[in-house]
Amino acid sequence: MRTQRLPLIAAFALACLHVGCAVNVSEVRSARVLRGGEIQVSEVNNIVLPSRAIENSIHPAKSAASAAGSRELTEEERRALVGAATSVALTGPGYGAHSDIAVGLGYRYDAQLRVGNGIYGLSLRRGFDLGRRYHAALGLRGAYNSGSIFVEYVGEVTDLVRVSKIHRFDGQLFAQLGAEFGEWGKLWLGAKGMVSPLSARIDARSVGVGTDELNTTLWHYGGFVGGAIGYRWLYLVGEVTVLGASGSVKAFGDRYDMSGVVIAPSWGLMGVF
Amino acid sequence: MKRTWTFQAQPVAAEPVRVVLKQADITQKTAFVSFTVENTSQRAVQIELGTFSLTLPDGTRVSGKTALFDRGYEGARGLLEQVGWIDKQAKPGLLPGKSLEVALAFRQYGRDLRRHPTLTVALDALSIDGHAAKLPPLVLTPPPGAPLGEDI
Repeated sequence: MRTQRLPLIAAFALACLHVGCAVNVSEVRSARVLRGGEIQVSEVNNIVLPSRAIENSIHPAKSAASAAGSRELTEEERRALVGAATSVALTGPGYGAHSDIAVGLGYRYDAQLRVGNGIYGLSLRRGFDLGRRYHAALGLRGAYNSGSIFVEYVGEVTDLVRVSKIHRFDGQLFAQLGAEFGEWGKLWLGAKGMVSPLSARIDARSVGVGTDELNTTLWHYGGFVGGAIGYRWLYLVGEVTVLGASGSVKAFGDRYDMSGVVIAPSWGLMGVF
Repeated sequence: MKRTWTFQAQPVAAEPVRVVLKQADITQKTAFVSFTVENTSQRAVQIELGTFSLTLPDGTRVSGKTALFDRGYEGARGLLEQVGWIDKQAKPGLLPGKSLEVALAFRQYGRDLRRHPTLTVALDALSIDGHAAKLPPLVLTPPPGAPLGEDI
C-alpha cells in the first residue's frame, strides 16, 4: 500500500481516540515547517499543573466551602470562594486533549487546524532555512476556547460558585528552533506569547452573592521544549510548556488576581505523511 | 495541493536489451519508479538485478529498494539455499522479445524529490549474462508546468 492513504487512516484513528477538553498552550510539533502537500496529524494530551497562586487561593476557599452548609459565610469567605472558582475556571489546572492536523502549503508555509472539546484553533507558520538538520519557524494561532476543565479539580468549590458561558479567544505568537535527526528523532524549543480576551458568567447565588458577568484579558508568555521519537511516519511526542500568566478579573465589585505560572506537560502521537 | 507528480523518461537501449519507463510517481520523500527490461536480441539472456541508485542534480545519491515482501522472500530463500535446506533455483533466461518489470522505491528524508528538473536512475546495477549492462541512465523529467525548487 502506498503512503498516500495513510493520512486518512491516521486521522480517523486519532478522531476515535479523542476525549476530554482542551488546554491550548502546547505546540507539540517539530520546528520544521511542512513541505507543500505534506500532512501531519497529532493527538495531544495536556495537563496544566496548578500554579502557586491558585493553590494559595484554594485552601481558604475549601474551608469556606465546608462551612457553607452549616452557617452563614462571612464576606471574606464568600470572596475566597468567588476568587478560587474564578481562578480555577479561567486559568486553572486540568486535563485536556486536542487533535491537530497540519498541511504544508508550500513556499515554507504550513497551516494547522486544532480541535478539542471546547477549542477550535487555526495556525499559520513560516519556516526559515537553516540547512538540512536545523530549522526555525515563526507562527501565529487564533483559537476559540470555552475554557472548560475535564478533571474536576476542586469540586467542593466549583459546585458552590459556578463559572459558565466562558467565551475566550486565544491569540498566540510563537517562534521555534529545532533539529531533526534522520527519520527517527526531532527536538525543538521555542518562545510563546498569548493574549486571551474572555467573558464569562459567574453564579454565586448558592452562597448568597448573586450573579455577575466577567470581561477581562489574560496574558501568557514563556517557552516550551519538546521532542519526538519514532520512525518515518509515526512518532511519540512530548513537550513541556512553562508560561507566566498575568491579568486580573473584576467580579461583584472586587478585583481578583489571575497571575501565576502555568506548567503544562503534553504528550501524544504524531503521524507525518 | 498535489502530493505526487508523474515524471517521464525516454527509453534507453544497448544490445541486447531495451529499458522503457513504465511509471515514475514522485512524492516528497519517495520516488516510485518502475521500468521494463526487454530482450531485443534473438537469444535468451540472463538478467541479474543489483542495487539501483537515483541521483539528484546536486549529486545526492539515493539507493533503490524493491518491495519489502520480495526482499524478505529472496533473502529467506537465499539463506535456505546456503544452508542446503532447499535446492538452488535455476533462473531461466529472458527469452527473445520478452520483458521483465523492475519496481523500485527511492526514499530520501529531508528533501523534496518532486521539485527537481531531473532525477537520474543509473542502470549499471543491471547485469546481463554476468556483465554490467552498458546502458545510459534513465533521466526522469517532471511534467510541463511542475513547480521546481525545493522551497516551493
